[in-house]
Amino acid sequence: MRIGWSALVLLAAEFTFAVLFLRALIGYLRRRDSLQGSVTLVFLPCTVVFCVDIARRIGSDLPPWVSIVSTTVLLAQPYLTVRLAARLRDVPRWLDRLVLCAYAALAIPIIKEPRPLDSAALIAVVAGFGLSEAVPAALLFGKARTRAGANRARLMIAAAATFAFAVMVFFIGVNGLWRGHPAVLAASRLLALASGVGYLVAFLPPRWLRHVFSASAAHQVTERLLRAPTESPAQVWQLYAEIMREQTGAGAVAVFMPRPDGQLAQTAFAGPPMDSHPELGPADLTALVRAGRPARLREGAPALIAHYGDPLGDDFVTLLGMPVPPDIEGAVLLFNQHRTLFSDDDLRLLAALGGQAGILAERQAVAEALNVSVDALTRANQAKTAFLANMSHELRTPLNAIIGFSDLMRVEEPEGDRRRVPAEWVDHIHTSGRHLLGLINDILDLAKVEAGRLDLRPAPLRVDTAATELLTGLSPLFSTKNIALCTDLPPVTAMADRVRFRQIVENLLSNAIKFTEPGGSVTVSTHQAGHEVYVSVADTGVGIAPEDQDRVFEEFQQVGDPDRQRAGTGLGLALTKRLVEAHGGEITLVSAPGEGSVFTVRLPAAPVDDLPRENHPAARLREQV
Amino acid sequence: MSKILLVEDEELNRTLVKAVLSRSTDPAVREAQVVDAISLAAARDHLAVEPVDLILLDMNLPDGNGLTLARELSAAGGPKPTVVALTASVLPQDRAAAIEAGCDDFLDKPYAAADLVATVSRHLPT
Repeated sequence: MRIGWSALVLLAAEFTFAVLFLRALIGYLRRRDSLQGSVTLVFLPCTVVFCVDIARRIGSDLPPWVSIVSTTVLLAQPYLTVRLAARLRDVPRWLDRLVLCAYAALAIPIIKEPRPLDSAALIAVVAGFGLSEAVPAALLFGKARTRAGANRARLMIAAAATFAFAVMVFFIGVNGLWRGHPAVLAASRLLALASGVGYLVAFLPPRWLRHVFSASAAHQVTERLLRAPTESPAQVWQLYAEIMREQTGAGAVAVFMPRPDGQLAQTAFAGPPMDSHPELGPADLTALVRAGRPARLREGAPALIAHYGDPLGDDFVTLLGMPVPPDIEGAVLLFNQHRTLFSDDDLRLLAALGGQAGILAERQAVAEALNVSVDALTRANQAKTAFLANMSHELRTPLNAIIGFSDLMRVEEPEGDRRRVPAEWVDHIHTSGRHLLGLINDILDLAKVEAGRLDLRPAPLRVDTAATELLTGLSPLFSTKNIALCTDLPPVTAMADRVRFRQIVENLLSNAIKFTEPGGSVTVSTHQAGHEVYVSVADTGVGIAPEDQDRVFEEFQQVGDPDRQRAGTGLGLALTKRLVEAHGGEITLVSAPGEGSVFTVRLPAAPVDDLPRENHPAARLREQV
Repeated sequence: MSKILLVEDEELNRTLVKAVLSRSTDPAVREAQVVDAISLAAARDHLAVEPVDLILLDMNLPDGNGLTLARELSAAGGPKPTVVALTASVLPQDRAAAIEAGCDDFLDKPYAAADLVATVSRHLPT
């Protein structure tokens, strides 16, 4: 038996298809995976033709029906390829039916017509087969275009191999018409081999080729991750999810990262809009990790179905572990409406690249923290500058009177070693000097509180007594301005520094007097509730608008009716608040414009054991006795 | 006799300015008529009734910043009195803001009596 090179080419092609068929068959038998079953069916026709050809070559005299059967089976190849494509993507029902009808129409002349077929029948069969085969080729090509990386390359090659197969059949037809022209025969056999090799590369690629595909995909992903402008870890993960979706062609991608409590929480999601942010327990995930195979969503964890089931429909879900250096285990979930043919390499690689996204996210988190500190420092610096400018302004105001009036004194006519000056000038200088001193003391106190160096000596202090002493000292102010003073001072004892407590109440009282019209009243009251002592200063003054109520406690903020005479340093309430807080207490303000203000200071009460003798219940009892 | 409008809310400062000006050796300054305004509103009211030659303008006024008035006068167009800002805000940006608002001169607080007289004297019509 002599075999020419062109026959060898055909044998090689047929052998290739047989290998592919066996490989797919083994895969199907092992895993009973319906997708593998479809692949097996695609390679079945060529394998049948191969077996018949081998049998014919080793000299068996085959009955004519064998040839008819093998040709009929071969003609089914386009339809079987369309069925495979339908598992990978949407294929319109009518297209599926059309290819099936074409197959039936082609099979009739093969079975019915006498051999050899006449030219018209041959042309019809060849043309019908070519057109039918072009359909799955186009479907695979269309699918390939939506994918990326190795997946895309392999689908493209599969589409090309399918097309080559169609062209091969065309050449066989031409060969039949021209009664065995050797060049046409050789071309058809070469195309058969090309088609076989194409399917081989697509379905059983050599390791080096898979590495080339993977490396190029990895390069693209890394480059995109690094190039995209991201500002926060959340943005990095979102970008990663979107790249994953594009690279894998998945319908949706969810990225999960562990939370401190061990549950996995969705960090990013790329896909149709969804409201919820599901959490997964480790148990939900183990249900999904099943030999790395895609599972139907309805077979997945209840949590997954609850969160993804409705919006995404009955999809396939693939779970991939995503190790993030140094020791975090995240997860990526891919949702697909269809199965993916060749994705394992890409998927594992892309999930591993999640680690890179993790490093990026980490870096973004550090940068974010840094930005926050820089912002805080900038704000602190601006606050310091504003404080200095305000302070300079406040110090210059009394100094203007001091320097101005003393300057005037210098140019008054001397009488011996003395000068005759208006007495009020001396008063102005003195008042301004006192004001300046008060300002400086307030600033120093404020600085001490800020630095935590306030020398506070809390001791049991009779609040009612201390308040009464203060009010006695301030009574001229009340009478001058015709403001009534009401008191409600039952004996209560707080833990407070005597000097600072006086300062607190004095600040509140001078504010109350300042902002109360003649004829109004100021009420000072104390009471104890549990372990706390409350001191309130209420006035019938102008009141403070709600939007200003926080600002009154800031340095150099004077709020309220602008037509009022301004006085004071703008530091009093800021300092008062800090002094109260240094005691472990709190100052609150209740006020409405036109209805007066109530400032209430809460201070810790003195423990019963520490009460001064006169306030001790036993001592009081003795007094009464 | 020149007219000076003193826009200043602090009574001490008004007393001081008037005492300094009335003791000046420059007759133009000494004899100038000084009118008080304790707020922007009062200043506007006065200017609506009677023009003045010079305004001594404080910045921190109860109803706003003195520069508001300076801007209004610049925007109004036509003949405008000389405006001298008297301010305790002496940072470079405060000065820049005063010039930008249309102040012709400024005097930092605290000022020496002689400086106040010299500034007023320089800007009063002879």
